[in-house]
Amino acid sequence: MEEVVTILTVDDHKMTALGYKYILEDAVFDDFSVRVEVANGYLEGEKRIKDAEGTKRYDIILLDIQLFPAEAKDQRTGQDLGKLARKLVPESKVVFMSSFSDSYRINSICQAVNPDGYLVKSEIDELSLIDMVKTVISKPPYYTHLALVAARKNIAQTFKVDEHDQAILYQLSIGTKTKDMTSVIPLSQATIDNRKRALKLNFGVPDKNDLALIEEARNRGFI
Amino acid sequence: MYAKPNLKLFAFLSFLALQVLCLSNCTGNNSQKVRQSISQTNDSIGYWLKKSNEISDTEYRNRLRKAYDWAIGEKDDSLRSHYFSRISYAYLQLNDSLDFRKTNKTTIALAKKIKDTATHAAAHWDLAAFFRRYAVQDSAYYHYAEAQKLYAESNNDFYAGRMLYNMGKVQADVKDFTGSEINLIRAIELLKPLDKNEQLYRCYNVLGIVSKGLKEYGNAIDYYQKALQYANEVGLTPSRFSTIQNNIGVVYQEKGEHAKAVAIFNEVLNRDNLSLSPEDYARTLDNLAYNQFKAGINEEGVQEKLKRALQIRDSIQDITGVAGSYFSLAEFYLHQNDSTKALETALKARNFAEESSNNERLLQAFELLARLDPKNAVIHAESYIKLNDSLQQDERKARNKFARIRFETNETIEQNRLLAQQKQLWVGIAVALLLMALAAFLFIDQRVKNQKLRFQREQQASNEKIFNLLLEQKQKVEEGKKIAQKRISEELHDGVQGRIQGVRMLLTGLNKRNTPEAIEERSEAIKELQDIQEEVRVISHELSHAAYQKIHNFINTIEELLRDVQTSAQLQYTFEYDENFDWDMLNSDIKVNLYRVIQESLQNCVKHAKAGNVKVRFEIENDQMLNVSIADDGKGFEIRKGKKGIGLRNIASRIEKIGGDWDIGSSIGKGTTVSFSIPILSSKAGEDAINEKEFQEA
Repeated sequence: MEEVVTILTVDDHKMTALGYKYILEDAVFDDFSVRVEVANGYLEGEKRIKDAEGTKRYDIILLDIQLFPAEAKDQRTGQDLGKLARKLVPESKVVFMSSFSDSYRINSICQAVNPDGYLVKSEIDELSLIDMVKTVISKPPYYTHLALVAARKNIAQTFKVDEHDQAILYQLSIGTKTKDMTSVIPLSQATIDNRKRALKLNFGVPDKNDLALIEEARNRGFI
Repeated sequence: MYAKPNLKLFAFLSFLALQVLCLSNCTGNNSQKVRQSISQTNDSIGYWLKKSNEISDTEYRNRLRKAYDWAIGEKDDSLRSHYFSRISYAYLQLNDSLDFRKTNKTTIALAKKIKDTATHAAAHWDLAAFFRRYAVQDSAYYHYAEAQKLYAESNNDFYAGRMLYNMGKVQADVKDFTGSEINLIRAIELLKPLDKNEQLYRCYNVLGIVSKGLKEYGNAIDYYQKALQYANEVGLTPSRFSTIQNNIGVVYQEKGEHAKAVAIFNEVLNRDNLSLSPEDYARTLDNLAYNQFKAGINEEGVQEKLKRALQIRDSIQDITGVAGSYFSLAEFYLHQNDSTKALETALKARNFAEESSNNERLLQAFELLARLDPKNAVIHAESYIKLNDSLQQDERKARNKFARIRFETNETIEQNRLLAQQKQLWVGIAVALLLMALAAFLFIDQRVKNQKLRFQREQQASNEKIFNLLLEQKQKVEEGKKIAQKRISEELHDGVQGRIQGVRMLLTGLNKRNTPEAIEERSEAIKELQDIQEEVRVISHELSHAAYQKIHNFINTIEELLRDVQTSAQLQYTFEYDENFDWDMLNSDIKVNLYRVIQESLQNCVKHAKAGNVKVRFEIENDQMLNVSIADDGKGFEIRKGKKGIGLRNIASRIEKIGGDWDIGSSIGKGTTVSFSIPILSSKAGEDAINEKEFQEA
């Protein structure tokens, strides 16, 4: 009997999930066939993962990051599901498929979940989907080009930009004032200022304003 | 022998002779010095008053009369007093007592009136000299004292000293030796620092006389020696030398040291007898002879000398001297025990003494007669006693008078001192009051300034607050815009993109399928694409709407203010404004002040009117005037009653600052309407202009 690889895809857009399902189920793999289960939205995905606790029901779990409609204001994302999956179903591979291609998001996911793959949605097509499944099953991870670019920017860094620095850069880029950052980042105002100064120095824009810092950070892919 | 004795001259000479050594013309000379300094003005008065040998006495009198008439016609008081002073002096020199007294009186009155101290004092001096001439010693003393007082007041030490000298001299004449000594010493104290040797010589001379009178012979000689020293300084004339030496000789004579006296008199005669005046020569000769026989030495030639002196004196009509000579002769005859001759001569001495009014000599004569004429001794003794008594009485009277004058002077000085003290006190009080007033003024002024400053600062602070409010409002709008942009971006990212992704994925998945289900799902995907299209249209519409929507920051701020009042004070509001006008284009000054004024008015509605509704209207009139009205339905008030509170004053000051007018209409029970009309100079720079300008001000 031919081996069947079971994939769970969690997405808030049903059509997207169905698209994955049709593509993968129609695809021809050398030594296995694929079955895709579709979970619509966060809550359903969460339920499926919890149901599969302790089993190896899903070989691969495909997670979108944004799983609530924008107006829902729910803060939970695919990242939380990824952590959950790692905890409950550690044997399942976790792959993120998101339209987010920014270095900050990708790095934060890599650190939190250490996924087996990351696909930027605009790069996904029939070939890349099939390739991803093959790679993840045999020798993970699988990163699409944009995801690699974003991840490499961080690796190429000679100095360390930790998660707090990343958070500061991110907050700066979305226009948060430094004095308001203390409510989102668990650091004191003075520390934030110090880190900003150090970042400017490291990015080669000392004595320049925050805008220059953000631009440089964006160039280097931290945002 | 003395054919036509001029009585006046006799009287004058007699007082001179009383002290043999007096310097008859000193007073006149001194006065002249004063006059000369004044009469430098070359006017007709000066011409009339100039005395020369070419004109007769009558002619000169006529001239003086003319000068007098001229002086009376003079309008200027100070000139008039000046003229009178000179005319009166001219009369004094002319010995015209009647005219002198008249002009002198006028001078004193005028000078006193115009407070011309110099002229006033000089007039008293003249009058004193006049009285001295007629031996009216008490009056003379009084006027010298007056002159002295005036000179002392004007700090003229020289003349004050000279007046003191004259006073001392008058006192010496009536034997008020102690008083005289005091005045003379005061005179010396004043004159010494000025090095007035001439006057000092005179002072010491009189002091010598005074000491002799007090029988302090040692002192007298010392004083005479000093006088001699000063005389040496000014130039020792034979007359001065003879005067002093005679005085010294007489002192020795009185002490009974006749031999010393002889030596002194001999010195005078041997030194320079040729240049001695006949009078001095005769006096010295007489004194020498007298002391020679008294000393009992060298009696030969004594009678000849005495007779020669008598002869000289007789020839120059020196009656006083003649009396003296006869007295000396009588003593000599007595000494020779020739009592008949002695008596005869003594009687002559008495007669001449009487004639010359030389009471001293007369007393001596009476005393001698009483000794020589035992038959009539009682009569002579009675005469002596009578004369002596009357003399003593007169002297005592005069002394009392001096004392009184001195006392009065002291009293005036004391009064002046008191007056000065009082004056000082008043000046002090006035100055203190002035200072206090000044301090009070400064204090109040400072306070007013401080208040003004504080008011300005408060206004500035409130302006700043309002401005910040406006800025915040702007920021809020900006933030709102940002949020909208973010929302649109998210909508694009999450909604549109995700859905397109879904359609793409689905179509990719269905690409190779051709089952009826697949066809249906594709048609669903097509429908989804249509939805996405609609969504994009909506988003794009929203975007364009956001871009073109007018946001009135200022109106928002006002609205917010009204909302605040509504929630905090339950004041319902309606707010009307022209939607088409760009309110943010208003000058920032207008916005800030208008905001504050509306705030103030709303406070009044709540606090004072207790209103339930307020209606705020903004109207633009011809693009030039902004009319604002704030009408409430509160209890109203009577405008005329009560004064403006700080709130209304604040409103007035702010509206004035932006060049507007304002009006308040109210009556009890009918609510209050406050209206403003403000000229608007809408600045194109708008909001940006505020930023820079206001921040610079803040």
